[in-house]
Amino acid sequence: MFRLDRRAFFALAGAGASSLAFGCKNDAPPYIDKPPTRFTEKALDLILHTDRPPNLETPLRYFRTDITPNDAMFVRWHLSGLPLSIDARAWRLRIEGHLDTPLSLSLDDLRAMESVSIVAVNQCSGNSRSLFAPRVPGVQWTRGAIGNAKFTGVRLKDLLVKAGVRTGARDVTFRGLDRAPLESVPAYVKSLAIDRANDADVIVAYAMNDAPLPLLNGFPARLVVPGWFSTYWVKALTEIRVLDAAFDGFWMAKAYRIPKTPDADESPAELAKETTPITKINVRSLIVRPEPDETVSPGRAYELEGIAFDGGAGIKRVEVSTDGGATWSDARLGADLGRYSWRRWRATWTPPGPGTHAILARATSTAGEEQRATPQWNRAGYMRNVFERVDVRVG
Amino acid sequence: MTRATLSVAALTLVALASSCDRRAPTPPVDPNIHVFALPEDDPPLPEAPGKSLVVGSCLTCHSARYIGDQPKFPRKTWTAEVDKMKKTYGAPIAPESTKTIVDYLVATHGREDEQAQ
Repeated sequence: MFRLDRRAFFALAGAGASSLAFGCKNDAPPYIDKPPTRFTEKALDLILHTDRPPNLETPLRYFRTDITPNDAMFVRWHLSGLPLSIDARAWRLRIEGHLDTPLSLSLDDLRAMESVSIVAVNQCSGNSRSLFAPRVPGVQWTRGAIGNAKFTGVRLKDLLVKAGVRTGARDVTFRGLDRAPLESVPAYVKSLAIDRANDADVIVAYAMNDAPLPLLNGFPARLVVPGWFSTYWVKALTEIRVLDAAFDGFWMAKAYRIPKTPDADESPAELAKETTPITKINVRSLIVRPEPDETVSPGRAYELEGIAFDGGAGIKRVEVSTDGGATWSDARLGADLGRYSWRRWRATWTPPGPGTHAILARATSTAGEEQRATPQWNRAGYMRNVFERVDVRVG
Repeated sequence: MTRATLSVAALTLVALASSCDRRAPTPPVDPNIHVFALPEDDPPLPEAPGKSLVVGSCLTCHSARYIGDQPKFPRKTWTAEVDKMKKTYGAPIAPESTKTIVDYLVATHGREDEQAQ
């Protein structure tokens, strides 16, 4: 142990502070008494919703690339008892329950197995919750509780084969290292039906974009369920349990449920009587450029740009309207990185003259699924997929 | 100054200077070990009657930003939220304290119900 010489510390801290003041071009003013919150392994400009537990949103500008960088991938934790320090060498993934051979695997064990990579959209169920009218409680995401990344790991199916699932298996549960702050708060455990768990595309991923997962995104391994919302993508995965009965834990039976109605639509005055667990990502587009506060020049060609995605059928078509939805034309689709990846779209627009113009985008999947023309509403703020709209100032 | 003091001071300087960098800090030296420090910069809750109850009952599990992130909900919604925290998550809220907490949330980050106005 040692003690800091206070005078030396403040002198040097002062020097550091002045280099902060001079060194940061285009940064917010350096509030020395309250520096911006820096999250481990994360970019400084993520949108902070909450700090304990951490919930960070990705700004739209990061969606100008097909692959979201690891330091910009959004962060969502439910319980404040998230792991603060993980040594990957000591970490084990236990596979237990209705099996012939329960397993305890190290990260090296996983790495020694056949690996697969998949590019997939990772989207929170509540993405764009803040756009619901009337507003609903929950993390108030705008559009950035989403990212697209290459996930590498082992097939869950291979792990289950290795463990020898017994006949009569019904549900598989997934639990991470995070802990509830009070005993009365239910542990974050999610489940997949055995058939879904055996889908060859479901993986236990130990890498994101060819690098270890950031701790806030689930280091050292997380479940990846391509095509389904991130609520199933359990982070810092530590236990997989095969059950011969239906799982009825809180986070399946009470939370993350949507009305059993078309597009998960209900009204505050008449809440749906029946609900069901949210699962598949519904088709949606985002407009990445222009951004809501951007001003564009009249008479000069502007490249409208965005992304579109769905639950795994793939995107067939994106249409754009530059007149508030009166007329539509096809956007050009970018590189196809796989059916679970988002797909970039672009359309050239020459703004006619000064004023405000409503730009809209709507996507159609190869399965024929379309976005809604009117916003849906539900009590939890899930699955928003109305036509995207940005009002652009021209001048 | 000892050598340890010097090196810590130098590290402090580096840490401060590098906060200009908009990218994430360099990856951990040992890729096997990832460490996360929970930031401690929670904004203070506004002064209003019931604040100490809110601190004791709500901030055990989540920070004040969880309240601040929400829109200014009507009393009805805040009442339902407090009820959910109590019944579903077991928040330590005595029955006689519920109204005080809801009053605090409505006063500092909410509004009365439309029909009540």
